[in-house]
Parts: sequence; C-alpha cells; structure tokens
Amino acid sequence: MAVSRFSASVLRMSCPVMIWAMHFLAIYGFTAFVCARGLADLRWLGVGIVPWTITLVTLLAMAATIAVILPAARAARASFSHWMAATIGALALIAIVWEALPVFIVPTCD
Amino acid sequence: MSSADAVAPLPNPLPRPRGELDRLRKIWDPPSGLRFLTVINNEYVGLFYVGTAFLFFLLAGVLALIMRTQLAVPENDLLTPNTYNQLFTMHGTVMMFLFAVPAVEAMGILLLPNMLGARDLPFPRLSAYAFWAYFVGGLVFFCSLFFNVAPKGGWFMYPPLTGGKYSPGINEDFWLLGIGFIEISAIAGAIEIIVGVLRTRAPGMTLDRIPVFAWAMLVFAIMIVFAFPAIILATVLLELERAFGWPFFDAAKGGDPLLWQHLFWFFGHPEVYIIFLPAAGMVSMIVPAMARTPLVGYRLVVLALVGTGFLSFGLWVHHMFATGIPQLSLSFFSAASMAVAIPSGIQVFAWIATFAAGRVQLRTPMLFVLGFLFTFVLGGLTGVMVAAVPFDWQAHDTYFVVAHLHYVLFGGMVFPLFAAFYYWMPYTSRNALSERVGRWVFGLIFVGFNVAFFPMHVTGLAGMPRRVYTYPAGLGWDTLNLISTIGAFLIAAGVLLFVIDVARKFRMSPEENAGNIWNAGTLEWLPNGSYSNRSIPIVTSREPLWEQPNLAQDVEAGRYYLPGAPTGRRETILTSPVEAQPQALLLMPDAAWTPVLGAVFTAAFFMLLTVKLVAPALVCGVITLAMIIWWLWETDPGPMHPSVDIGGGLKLPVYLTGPASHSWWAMVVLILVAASVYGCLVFSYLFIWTVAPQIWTAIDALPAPGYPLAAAGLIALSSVAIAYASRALRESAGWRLRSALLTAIPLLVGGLAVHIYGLETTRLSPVESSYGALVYAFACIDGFFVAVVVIMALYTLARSAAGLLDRVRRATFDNMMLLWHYTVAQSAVGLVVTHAFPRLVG
Repeated sequence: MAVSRFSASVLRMSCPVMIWAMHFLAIYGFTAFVCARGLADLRWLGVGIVPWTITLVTLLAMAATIAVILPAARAARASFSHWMAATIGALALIAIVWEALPVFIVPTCD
Repeated sequence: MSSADAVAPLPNPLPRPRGELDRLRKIWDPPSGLRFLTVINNEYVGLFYVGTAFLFFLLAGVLALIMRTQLAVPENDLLTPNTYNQLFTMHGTVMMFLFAVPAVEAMGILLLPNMLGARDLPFPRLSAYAFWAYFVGGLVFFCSLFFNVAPKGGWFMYPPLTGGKYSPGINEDFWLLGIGFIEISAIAGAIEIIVGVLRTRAPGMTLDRIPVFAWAMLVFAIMIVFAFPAIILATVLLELERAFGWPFFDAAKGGDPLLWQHLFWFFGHPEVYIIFLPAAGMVSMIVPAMARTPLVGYRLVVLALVGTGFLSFGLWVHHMFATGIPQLSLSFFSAASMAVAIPSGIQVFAWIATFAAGRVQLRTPMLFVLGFLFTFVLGGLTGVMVAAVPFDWQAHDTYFVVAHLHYVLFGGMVFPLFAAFYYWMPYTSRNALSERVGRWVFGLIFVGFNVAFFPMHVTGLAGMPRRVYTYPAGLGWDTLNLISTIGAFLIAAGVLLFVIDVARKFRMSPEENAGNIWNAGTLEWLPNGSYSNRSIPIVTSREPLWEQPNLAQDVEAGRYYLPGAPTGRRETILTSPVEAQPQALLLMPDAAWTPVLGAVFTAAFFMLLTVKLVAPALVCGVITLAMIIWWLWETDPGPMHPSVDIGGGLKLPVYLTGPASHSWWAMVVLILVAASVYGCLVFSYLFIWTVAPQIWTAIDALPAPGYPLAAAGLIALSSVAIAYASRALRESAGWRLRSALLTAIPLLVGGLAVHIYGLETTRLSPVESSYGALVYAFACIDGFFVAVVVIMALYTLARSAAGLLDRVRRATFDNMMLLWHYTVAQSAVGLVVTHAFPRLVG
C-alpha cells in the first residue's frame, strides 16, 4: 500500500530528526529549569545535576540514533530513503554530540 | 524512433484524434475580460505572485534609500525619529514578510507543476485565494505608512516596547493583525506545495529523481508548517495583551517579555532558512544548466537541504545571546549555529565541484550565482563570528549585525532570485532578458551591495548602534555612512536598469515562450501551454531532457500519458508519494469569483479589526465564510465519471477517498500546523511556570476535578458519535449519520462549556496574572477549533441533506472527521496541561 510505504519512509527519515529535537529540547529545557529554580548546586560524586543529566540523555540519544543508522546503512545502497535515513542520522549524531559538549567546558548557570 | 521507444513503447499512439489539443487548450485557457481576475492557472497566479513580491521589494527598497539618505551625513534632519522608526520597521517587515517568503513561494507556484510534470498544483483555487489575500492585505498594510499609523517597534516587535503601555494607538496592531493574517496565506501556499510535490509528480519521478528545487520547496513548506505557528501564536498573545490586558509579557503580573522573543525567534531563525533554501534550490538548478553537466552530489545536496531544515530549528536563541540566559544554555545554541555550517558547506562544495566538472557559460544567471556564492559565504563567515557568544555580546545591536544579516539575506536570497529571473524568464516570456544589460545590472548590484554593506561591519565595530535615526559627527562613522549611502544608490541604479529591461523584454506567453535557450535538462523546459505539457511524460532520470532524447517532441505530440482531457474537465495525474506511480485522475476546479472575493473580504476583516471597526469587520468575516462555503460546495464532485484510460491501457479512477485522497493529505498538513500552534502554547505555559512559579495558582484554587473530567468525558463522547457517523455513512444510512452528527455537536460544545464554567467558578482571571491569561488562552484556542469543526459538521449535514454525501462520495465527511478527532485530542491535552499538571507538580 503506497500510503503505508510512504509513512514508513517518512518515519525512517524523520526518526533521527525527532531524536535530535527531543535531545535538544531536553538538555535546553532541563538546564533552564535547574537554573531558574536554583537547583544547580545539587551534586553527586562531585558532579552537578546538569552535567550528569545531560551526559545520560546524550548517551541515550546517541544510542537511539545509532540504532536507526545501522540498519538504514545496510540497505542504503538499494534504497534512497534508507540512504537518507543513514546520512541524516549521521548529521543528527554529530549535532547531538557537538551540542552537548559545552556542558564539560562552560559553567552551568553563570 | 526515439530512444524511449527502444526501451518501451510510448503509452499513446499517433496520430492523435482531431480536436483533442483544441479541447485541452479550451479547458485550460484563462478566462477573458474582467473574469481574468479569477484565473487560477499556476502560470498566471505564479506570475502575479512574483510581480507583487517584486513590487514590495521595490517599495521596501525605496524605504531603505530614504533611510540611507537620512544617515548619509551626521545630524541630518530629513526625517523625524518617529518617521524613521516607522521606516526601518516597515523596511524589515515588508522585506521579510511581503517580499522574501512570498517571492520564493511564488517561484514555487510558477515553476513546480511544470517541473514535476503536472498540469497544475492540486488546489489551484487555494493558490488564487492565498495570492489575493496577500496582494490586498499587503498593499493596505503598506499604505499605513501614508497615514502615520505604520508599526514602529522594529520588525521583531519586542514587548514591552510594543505593549499597550509604551505603544498606544494602532500602529503595532497593524503589524500584529496584518502580518498575522498574511502568514495564513503563506501556510495555504505551503499546504499546496507539500501535496503538489508529494502527489502530482510525473510517473517515474521517484524521490531520488525529484528536481532539487522541488526538494527545496518541499523542505521550505514543511518548515513553514512548523515555524509559522510560533509567530501566529505570538501575535495572537500580544494582540490579546494589547486589546484585553491579558498579561502574557507583563513582568509585573508574572508574564515575561522573553516569552515573545522565544516565540518570535523560534519562527524567525528558521525563517532565514525558509528564505534561503528555495534560493539554494534555484542555484542547484541553474548551476548544472550553466555548467552543462549534472549536479555533483545530488543526494548530498538533498541531505544538506533536509539537514539545514531541521538544524535551523535549534538556533533561535542565538538571537537572544544578550538577554541574560545562562551561559550553558547559550552554548547549546552556539554549537547548533556552528553545526548548521556543515550542510551549508556541503551545498557550496557541490556547486563548486559542478563548475569544475562541466564547462561553465558565464551568462547573466551565472554571474548572479557567483555573486551569491561570494556574498553568502562572507555572510556565513560573519555568522560563525556572531555565533560565538563573547563576540556577539560586543557586536549585538550594532551595524555589524546589519551588515551580517544583509550579506546572508541579500546574498543568500536576492542574488539567487535575480539569477532565477534571468534563468527562467524564457520559460514564461516570449523574450529572454538582455544579456548586455544583464551584465550591467549584475555589476551595479554586486558592487553597490558591497560598497553599501561591507563598510557597515566597520561602522558596527566602531560602535554605531542600529536603528538610530541620526548620529553626532566626529565618532569615525561619517565617511563610512556616506560610502554606504552611495552603495545603496548603486544598488537602486542596478534594480532600476533591471526594471527597464523587464519592461522592454518581458512579454508573458506560456505557449509561445522563448523556450529552452540554456539547453537545460528538467521538465519545465518542455514545450508549454496554459495546460502545462500536452502529455505527461514518464520520467526515467533526473535530467529527462538530457537523458531521454526526443522527449520534448514526444510529449508535444501527445505520445505520453493523458494527451487530452478525457473527462472534459481540468485534470492531472495523482501519483504515489514514493515511487510516483499513477493512482488516480485528479479532477480540478475551474476559475471562480469565490476565492478572489473570499480573499478580499478576509483582508478586509483583519484590516477593519485593526482600526477597531468591529461591526463592519464581523460583516466581512461572515461574507468570507459564505464565500468559502460557496467555493467548497462545488468541490468533492464524487465519482462523476467512469475510470479513464490515460494511455498504455492504464485505467485510473477519477475519485479517491480516505488516506489516498489529496484533500486528506491537505487536512493532515493543516492538523500539523494546528498542533504546532498548540505545542507553542504548551511551551509558553511551561516557560512561564519555569520563570514565574510565584503566580501559579494554589491547587485548592483550581476548579474542582469534576469539571475537567466531565468536559473530557463529553468531548470523548462526541468523538465516539463521529466514529459512529462514519460507520453509518459506510452503510449509506443518511438518517443515522445525521442523528450522530446532531448528537456530536452538543456533546463537543457542552464539553467546552463545562470546561469554561469550571474556570468561572474559581477566582481565576485572565487579566490578573499571566497564569490566568494562559489558562484562558487554552480555552480560547480550544473554542476556536470547536467553532470551526461545528461549522464543518453543519456543512456536512447540509451536504448530506442535499444528497451530496454517500458511502462513496465521502471526502467532505472524512476531512471533517479528521479535524474533529484532532480537536478532541487537542482539547484533552489542554485539560491535562491546565488541570492535571498543576496538581502533579504541586
């Protein structure tokens, strides 16, 4: 059925985008909330709540993106939508890692 | 014998029956006389659109010249501060909303059907409606300048400056209502483009054979669907604050002006790419034709378009680096701003590689492409500079930013648009534009642009703030400003020369156009008529005119699909979205007055509201509704014709319902727009909760849980009734259908009423705190959707009573049902957010 095939293609290609968007909103929203409510001093093993959470969320997002990329990459030669899913996934993966990196460099709420 | 014949016989034999072409031409010919105003063919509406957008470019350009004259020397008194404020606000607003977005959308409407091998876009009346609303509304909006009531808060309208306290009068209302409704026009165009690109491509044009411009327009339209709702909601909230005192942005009552900035830039930054991506798509079409070789890295360029599209939604806070947001949060956006350089870089390298792979003809379109590359790359580099937070703090609100944004926008959009004008002029006119004059036009604009804007980097670094109406002498800004003004007039000279050349050479004629003078490879260069192509080709490559020899002759002779008009009406082939396999024959409407009048009265409704003439505005609103209902009554024709043989033994049905129908697709896109508006409202609620917890109401001040629970139950039951009506329609039980609809309406309205009554039982007030305002905003938006679906349900009832609805002919019902269920789901989310969330978080 054409529509369901289209839906599958759209889902495949948009999965990495949705993971990126959720990761971005999560790290931005969580940091904003913690800073607005003065919770940045909560620590575990000497590391603040924001770096912990962002690291965890980023690892999860990376794992989910890789889970989309790998099967798509295997079928990429034969199918355009698989190729797109794999390459969009790669771009999303770079963006996820790159956007999370400042947590190790920049103070949280200054 | 053509090479296509060698692969497979063409679908239709020659000779074609006598009179077939004449009938086709007659059906698609535009109306004559005064009725020409009702034309809906994309070639005409597209040209009107391009012409109007260019008119606004000229008007906003004149405003820029007046401003540059004012700034040419220090302490100039040519303009008063008040006039200057109106001029820079109108310049930015008109360039962004009335020129840039409509211009690229217009190019899509003009080019896409022919480029995709369709006879027209799937909703031609919607295109006409969008154009006329934009044309009338835009002109009235511009005329506000002549009555000293033009907005003056800057194109991004930051409150509190633009709130009722600091900006009384109607100036800012013109912006909020005028621009708010022009965005509706952009969204209508976006729906048209999405469904057009996905469902009306020539057979065989699979996803990886779509011309890059069409990909760019698809990404552009999807971005509009997700970005424009943010500004629509923002304008609604600010207008509610100005008109009724609901304090969304008033810090004294728990609101936050930063909420406006978030909403505005969540739209505003993608807007930059909404403008740039179609321009990049045009460049990706022009470069291969000029280099006479296929685009290098087609797939990577498509990836870059999609990648830029989604990453651009993660950049909005980089316009807010100086607002006191925590450093780490800024860094996320700084990193995202740098990440978007990757897909932009991919495109630039693909174009350079294509130059290297082919033999470049240095014609006028190519000159503008080279101008674009130089200018845009420079703007991109200063973009990376201002993406670095510490640098941005220094350059913020100075002329450095003015220079940067013009390098990006003029470089990234205006140069490609001029390239496109030169490149596609032979597609729509009897004559191409003059090559000799074109070189002068390019030279004047390119030199003028750099003379005008390059010094502004230095002026900004020397500390000159933007938006000052004058400046004292001796600060090191005098000479730089004078040079910028000279540059601005050089640009104007180039544009004037272009206008003269257009007046000399442009003679509109879809049928006798100058033709494929560039020897380009894509379908828009097939022989054209008001019916688009004589027959609809089977596509087997990305550049069919290069790879499929004899294609033009075979298409023109009628050897491909649908060489005539077998149903005697306007029609095109509806194809599957991935493989572009023919699925049905889409019957299309004729020209009519209803979309034109509907658009005029829509514009009148909004503009009369702006000047507080509420009663006449309401009359116009009712007339608009009547026009739209009249227009729609003629659609959903049902299976009025047996299946049609379009050639090669391929028989297509002439009516589809459910998920295969093009109207279903349009409704799904519309629902995505609605969901985005609502998503932005949920964001606003959570934002205010984060920054102003003190105004959150105590749990015991919330309405008793019985009210939201009862409301949820009632609206859920209304959805059940609609589902029952759908089943009744499958069995053609008219009375059961009508009873179910008549039951669903009071259930839905009752649910909303219980919800609002629950709010009224508390001390909650929309004017006392931003919390109250937000809760009532949820109820207002829910109420708006309830009103819309109730009108749709009554319309469906009327069609059922008139015998225009049955088990087969049910697209009207299906679309209403989709929006109904969405409205119920949306209201349920609203109830959870406003009633369950406060209880959950205490």
